Amino acid sequence: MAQKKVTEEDTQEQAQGQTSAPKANAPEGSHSEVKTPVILIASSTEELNSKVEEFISANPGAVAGCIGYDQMTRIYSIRIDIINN
Amino acid sequence: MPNLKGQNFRVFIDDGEHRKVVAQSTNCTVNYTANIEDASHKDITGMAALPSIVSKGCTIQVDSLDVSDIGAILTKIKTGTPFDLIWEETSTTDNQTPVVTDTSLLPRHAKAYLNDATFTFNDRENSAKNLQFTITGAIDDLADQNPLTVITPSINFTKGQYVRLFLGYGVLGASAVIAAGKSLSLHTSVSLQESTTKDTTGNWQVQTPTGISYDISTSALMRSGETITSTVAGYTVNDLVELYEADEVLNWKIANVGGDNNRTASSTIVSGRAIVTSLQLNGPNRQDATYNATLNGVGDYTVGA
Repeated sequence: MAQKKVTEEDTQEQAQGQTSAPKANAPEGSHSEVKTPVILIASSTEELNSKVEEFISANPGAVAGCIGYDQMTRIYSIRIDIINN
Repeated sequence: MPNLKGQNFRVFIDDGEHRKVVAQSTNCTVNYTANIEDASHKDITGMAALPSIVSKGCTIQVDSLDVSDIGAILTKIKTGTPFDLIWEETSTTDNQTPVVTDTSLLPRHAKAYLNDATFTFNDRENSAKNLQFTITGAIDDLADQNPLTVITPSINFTKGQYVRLFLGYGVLGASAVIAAGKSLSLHTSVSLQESTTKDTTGNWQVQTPTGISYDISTSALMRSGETITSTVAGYTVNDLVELYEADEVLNWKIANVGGDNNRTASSTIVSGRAIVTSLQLNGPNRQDATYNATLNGVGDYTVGA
C-alpha cells in the first residue's frame, strides 16, 4: 500500500495545534530511498516520544528527526522519514 | 529599482517530485569559481599573465534553523547520490515563489553533492544546520522541472537541550549521557574526486564521491563527579580522559531526550562508533571549568536506532 503523504493541509492542521494521527504505512521498494516524511505532533515530549516509539515499531525503516517546539501553539512535533534499505 | 533582499534569493531542493525551498533558512551563498592556467608564452612580449579557463565549479552554502530532516539528509549522504539544487529570486509575498521577469535573477539548477554538513545542538539555543554543496556537471536553467510546493511558515524549532550525546563501550551500548553538556555538533564530510575526462563535454567540473567521514564535537562543564541523582548515568570528563588514554572505540548515539534532567533517551537520531581524538580542558579564572571533546567516527553511522 502506498503511503499517504503529508499535505500542506496537514501542516496547517499542526500549526493550529490539532492532534495528527500517523499518516504512513510500511514503505514499498527494495532500494535505499527517502519517502515523503510524516509529522507527528503532541502537547508534551512524553506524549510525543510515546507516539514516536509506537510509530517506529509499526513501520520498518522509519527514522525520527529532531523534536521541535512551536512556541506559539505550544505543540511539540517530530518528523519521521520512511527509509527503505 | 529596489535592492534585492537576501530573503528573496533562495535555494530550493528538488526531490524528483517537488521542489521546496530550504525551510527556515538564515543565509545562503553561491560561489562560482573558475580554475585557470597561465597560457603566456615566449611569443608574447612583456610579463603579463594570460589566464585561460581550465574548468569551472560552484559551491553552495545554506544555513537553516530546520533540523527536522536530519535523518533524511544523513541517509542521502550515505547513498552517495547528488541533490538537485535550484537557486533563484523569489517573490516578496511569501519569499518562496520564484520570480521570473526580464530583470529578475535567472533561475539556475545543478546537481550537487552535499560534501559538508554540520548539525548543531547547543543548550537553550535553536538548533541549526549548515550545508555545503559542490555541484557536479553543468549549471543549467532547468529550474521548474517539478512543481513548487510552498512550505507553511513555521516557528517550530529544536532547542538544543532536547538533543543529547550518549556514549558507552562494549556491551553497554551508548547508555550514558554527557553530563552537564553545553554544546553538541555532528559534522559529516564527503570527499570528492574531480573526474572529468576527454569524454566530458564543456568545462564544468564533474565530481565523484570517494569517501565519507564524520566527527562529533561536544563541550560540557567539568565536574569531579555526578552532581545530580538520575537513573541515567552521566559521562564526566574523567570518563572521557580514561577512554582517550585507553584508545577505546566507543559506541555513541545522538538522541532526542526528555524526562528528568533531559536525560531519558527517546528516539535515536543517529548512532555509530567513534574514538576520542581531541580533549581540551579549560580552567578560566572565576568561571566554570569546561572541556571540549571531539570524536571521530569509526565505520559507518546508522540513521535511526
